[in-house]
Amino acid sequence: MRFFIDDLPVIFPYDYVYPEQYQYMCALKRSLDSKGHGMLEMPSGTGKTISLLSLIIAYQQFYPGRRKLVYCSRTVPEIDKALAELKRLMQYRQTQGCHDENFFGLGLTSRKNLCVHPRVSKERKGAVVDARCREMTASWVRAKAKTEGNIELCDFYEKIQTLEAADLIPSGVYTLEDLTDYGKENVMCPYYLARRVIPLADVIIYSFHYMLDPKVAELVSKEFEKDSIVVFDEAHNIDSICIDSLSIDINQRTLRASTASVERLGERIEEMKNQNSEKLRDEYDRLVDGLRDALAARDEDMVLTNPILPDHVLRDAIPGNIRKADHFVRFLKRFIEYLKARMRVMHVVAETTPSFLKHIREVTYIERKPLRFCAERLASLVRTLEITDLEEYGALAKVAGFATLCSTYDAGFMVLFEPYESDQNRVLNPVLHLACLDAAIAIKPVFQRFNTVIITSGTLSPMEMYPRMLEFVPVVQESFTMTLARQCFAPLVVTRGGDQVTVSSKFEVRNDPAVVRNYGNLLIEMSRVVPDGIVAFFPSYLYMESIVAMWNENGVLKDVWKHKLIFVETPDAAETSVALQNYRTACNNGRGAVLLSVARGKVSEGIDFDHNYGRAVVMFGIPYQYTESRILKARLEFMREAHQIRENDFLTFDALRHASQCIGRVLRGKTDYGLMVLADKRYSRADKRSKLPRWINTCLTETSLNLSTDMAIGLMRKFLKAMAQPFDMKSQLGVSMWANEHIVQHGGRGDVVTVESTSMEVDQVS
Amino acid sequence: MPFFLSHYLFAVIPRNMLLLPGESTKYSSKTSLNKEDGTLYFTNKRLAWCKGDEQTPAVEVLHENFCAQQVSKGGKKVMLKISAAAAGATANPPPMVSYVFVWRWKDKDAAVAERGKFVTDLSFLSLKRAKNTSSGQQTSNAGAQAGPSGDRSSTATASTAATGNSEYKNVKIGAVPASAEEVKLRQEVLSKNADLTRIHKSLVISGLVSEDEFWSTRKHILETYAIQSQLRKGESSTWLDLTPTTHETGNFKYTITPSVARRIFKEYPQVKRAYVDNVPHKLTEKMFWKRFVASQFFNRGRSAEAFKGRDNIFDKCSLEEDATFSNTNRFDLEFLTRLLDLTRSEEDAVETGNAPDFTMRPSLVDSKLPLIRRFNHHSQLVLQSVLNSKRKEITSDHKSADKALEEATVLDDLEISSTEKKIRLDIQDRSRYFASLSDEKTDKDGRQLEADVTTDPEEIRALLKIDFDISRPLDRCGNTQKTMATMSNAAHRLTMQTRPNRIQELRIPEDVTVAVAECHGAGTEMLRHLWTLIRLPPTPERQQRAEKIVAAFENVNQHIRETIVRANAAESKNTKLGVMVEKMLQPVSDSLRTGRQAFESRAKALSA
Repeated sequence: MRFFIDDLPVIFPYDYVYPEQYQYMCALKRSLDSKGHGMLEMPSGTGKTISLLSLIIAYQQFYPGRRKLVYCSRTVPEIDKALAELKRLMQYRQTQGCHDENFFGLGLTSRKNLCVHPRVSKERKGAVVDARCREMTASWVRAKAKTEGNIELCDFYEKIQTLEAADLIPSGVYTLEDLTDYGKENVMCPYYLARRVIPLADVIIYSFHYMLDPKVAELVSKEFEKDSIVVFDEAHNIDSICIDSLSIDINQRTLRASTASVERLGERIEEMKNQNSEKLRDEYDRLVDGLRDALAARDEDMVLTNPILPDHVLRDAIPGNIRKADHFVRFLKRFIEYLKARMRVMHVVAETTPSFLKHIREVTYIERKPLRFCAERLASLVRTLEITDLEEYGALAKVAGFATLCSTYDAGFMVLFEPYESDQNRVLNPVLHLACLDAAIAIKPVFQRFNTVIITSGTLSPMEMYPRMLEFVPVVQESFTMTLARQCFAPLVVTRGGDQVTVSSKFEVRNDPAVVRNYGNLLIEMSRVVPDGIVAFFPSYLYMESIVAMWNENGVLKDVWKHKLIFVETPDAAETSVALQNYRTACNNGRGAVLLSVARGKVSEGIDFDHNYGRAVVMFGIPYQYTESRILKARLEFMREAHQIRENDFLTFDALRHASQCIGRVLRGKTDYGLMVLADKRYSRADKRSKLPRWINTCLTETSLNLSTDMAIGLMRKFLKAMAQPFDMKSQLGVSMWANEHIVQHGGRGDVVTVESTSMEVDQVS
Repeated sequence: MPFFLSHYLFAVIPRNMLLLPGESTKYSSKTSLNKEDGTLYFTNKRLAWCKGDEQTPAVEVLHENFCAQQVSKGGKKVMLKISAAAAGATANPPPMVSYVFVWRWKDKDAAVAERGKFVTDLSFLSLKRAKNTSSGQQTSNAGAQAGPSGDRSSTATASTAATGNSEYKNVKIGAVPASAEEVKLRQEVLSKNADLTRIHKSLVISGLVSEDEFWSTRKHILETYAIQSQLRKGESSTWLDLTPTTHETGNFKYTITPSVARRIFKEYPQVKRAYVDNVPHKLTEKMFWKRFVASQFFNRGRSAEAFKGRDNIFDKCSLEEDATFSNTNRFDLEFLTRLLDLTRSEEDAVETGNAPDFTMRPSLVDSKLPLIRRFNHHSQLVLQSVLNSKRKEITSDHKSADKALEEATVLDDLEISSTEKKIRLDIQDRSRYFASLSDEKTDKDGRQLEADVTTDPEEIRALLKIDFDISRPLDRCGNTQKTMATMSNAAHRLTMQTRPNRIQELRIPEDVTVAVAECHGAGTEMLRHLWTLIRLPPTPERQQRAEKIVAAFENVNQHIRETIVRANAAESKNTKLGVMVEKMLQPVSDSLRTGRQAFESRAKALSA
């Protein structure tokens, strides 16, 4: 399909377009034109990704400047899907006669997912893969291999070093699969290939960390131009990701490992001194001169990078007292001892970073400035000492990162020490948290650095929160609803059970036997009525486990087993993946299954439950965070002071965005249908409901609020029967699906071929 | 005086049933049939029931005619239902009769024991008969008739249902003359399908069409049935939850039958190993199960920590289980589609951030995790047993990966799709399909509900009236289900009732209608045969058959004439009945004529 938006010709790889997709593209174009930021909320399942890609590629190829597109998504399967859509789009554009010359698009993920070396790729842990890779690709290893014989290098990496970046790979669009295949065929390392080729690419697709986490972004995303278009897709959780990328936890194990690493460093220095201390001398000289090791170092330093942001990296020379290698080692030892001493305290301690630093100074005489350079100095030392087995130094890197972060930022962080695992059970597990409270720290540089940053998702409501939390001003802020020819999803709010007792996941009532039984009955009745797959979400792991155990005792699960198989999400990712696979098999062959999972867990983030994989989704309760958590409390206080966001507002907003995200997983396309059940009394209140996204809210009619279990089941039956009737696509045309003539009708420009007629029609309409 | 005494004596001493020569009673029991008290006798020749004190049985079932029995579950009423072929019936297949005997005794346990005796003997009967099947006889389809839900009947023949009726595996359908299995198959199909029986009766029994010809165009029905009867019912896939029954003395009683034991072994292979190792030389079976039930292994996951004690066999089992489950390497990710692989996202970036709070961390203290893992494992076992095939290794080649991605991303409705060929769903009983789907429990209520629903506006208003009396608990506030049913059905029924019913207005007497239907049926059947024969290339055999059929047309025509005569003679308010019936039968006679003409012209063309 071809149409115009203003003067930009857009090629859309389907025969029809949804009205909301068209409007989305118009809003997106406005944002691109104005070179400002945008926030766009579009209902899930309406083809957001393809609209985004079609418009931006059209924009990129049509206007001069050829702005690069950096597309950030959440999980690796989503990256795969986006790349696949891009590939199809480009193929379609070819058939339509667009000559996109040298178009190059690819994705990037960690070494673990891309390695093709026969031995290294078999390792299970990412950190191990990184370490093994470094053993073969570090600059000194390669230098040594030229002189000595026996050293194993990675052939795949070596080949890349011999070629120019432009010659490495022909242009085109490569999914992660394509990339690994290409690497295997041509004996090239896909990971380093991707990294090397990124500056040349038109479209790069990777996960949020590569843009937001300073440790990683420094290496990968440094060279993008200012006018690049950055898109954060599925970005409803972006503030949590920003916060996570700057937070660190240190426990006993970390400190023990760090101590051991420091000892080893000391020994290594002694060794080097005895052999031939030229390298150490060279390093010292370099540091005095304030030169930094650029170039080759970049390839290796994924683990030992600087955790702070580019603006904060000082341009000074490293301070004198840590320039010498053994001085630095002793410095580290002192710092680690201090941390150990702090961890022996038996009560909770919470303080700001300045006060933490003050205490350090009083006790150990360690100043702020050398602490700031800790991470960098350690990285340089490890390089000089030619240490390859970085797996062991992970803990030490963490401590160094901790030191650097503490000393760099004065506000927006909190240092919290908790001796026990939780207040209820007195299991001794001391952890020192460095918690970032301000989400804007990580993302503000991105907003400042790039002209156009688009934040988009299916559930961004209420939209005023994000500009406040992330400190940016959007030029375009839109929320779209779904246009439907037939109501293909039914949100229902169940507030009470068959015995009229209200149900809720509120802390006080959640273990009440009546509530547990009512929830159980709801699940049983639904498994009887709904075909194929049902997905059930719980607010937390703890709640899910206790309610599942109680249901098992009551015999509720036995009744569910009569109708459907049961699968449960577990903390182990591999196990959950296998369970998901089996769940899909059960849904496909007619047996039907129920999947019990957690609202903030791995399943709710990236897995789609479209068509028969999810005919109904139930949200048991409201997924609030644990409000007694000290870190959360500190964060709420920070937001109240800095951004004037009330605690209650934020907590409700956070809970409801997760709930909306869960229930939105069930639709893809407008012939798909699904039930969305929100089972908690509090959902019927106006203040909670107003925080649901617009496209869900408009469908919550008075009849679907405040239902009891049997009423809800009756509605569900009717809905399912009505949906199962054959649905003629043609009836959608004009209403929820547009062809060229409809675009023209609604004031746009249709096909480019019949220029005269469209211009006449436009005259008539206007 | 002696007269009175004897009378009194007669009244007291129960009189036995009069026996046939060579018959002896095995036992008898006081039961009631159709709410009348009497005695049920089981002899070596028959099962007989005498009303009250009579000596001649009111109901008797010869052993040869006995077909199936059903037992009532649950403690309320102790009932036994006997299905048998009607005595003296010569028709094939014979009509079935059923009787329900109720033990109205105060002592339920004794009643159940009595019933048990009958049940055992009757099941021996059917087993014996299944062994010496004679061709053409209706064997006890106890398997098929034991009811769709195996829970209901607890006959011993339920086990044959599990293995399936594999007699029909090699039957060749369509052979002439029909083999014995085919005859049996035909009888079974007829017994299941009421419409078919009716057509069969009217055509074959009345001699219009021969048996073989009738079935020659219905081979597909026989084939389908043969295949279906071979299907084995699998084991129950529900979660095995051994709940004990409590006795007055406070003891728990666990019932472990061989099938339960089989399921336990399947679910917990380590228990199977322990069983094989220890029984029978180290432990008796009973002791094994006793220890199993008492062990911590079995009771893990229950909150009641009543069972504390070490048991060397079963503690080992639980350790083994823990070991298997915590070995995360057992998940072979080769078989996983990449889109579902959550580990890829985990390994995408270095782990950073604060640890989640304790509500989001899986509780390692409480060990509910094994229970949850059990669920996943059990579901996987069920799926594997169903799907039989080994898991296909997801070939990580390009095509399949691309295909998976395509399925996940393409929005089909935005493309102009070609209409797909659809197969029409064949619903046997249309009228019941759209009735509200209610489950077994409320089935009776549901049906009642439909019958009860009135269309009288006044009554409806009364039904929907709810009085709110705040002093009483809120559960009396009206049945939402009933209300909704009333509201939604009432309007529907009103329209149905007020819609003019043309057929009724015609006021055709019932026998005439039946006759008309028969004519149509017979005519259609004949024509079916004729046209299939004509369409095929001609052979002398087919020619002969076609001639026979055309000759049989006469029969049908005769029948039509009779019907018209009857219609003319019938008393009815409709004066134009004869004319109307003639018009109704006109299409049939026309088609017959056309058929005959086609045949004759063809015959002429051939001979020419």
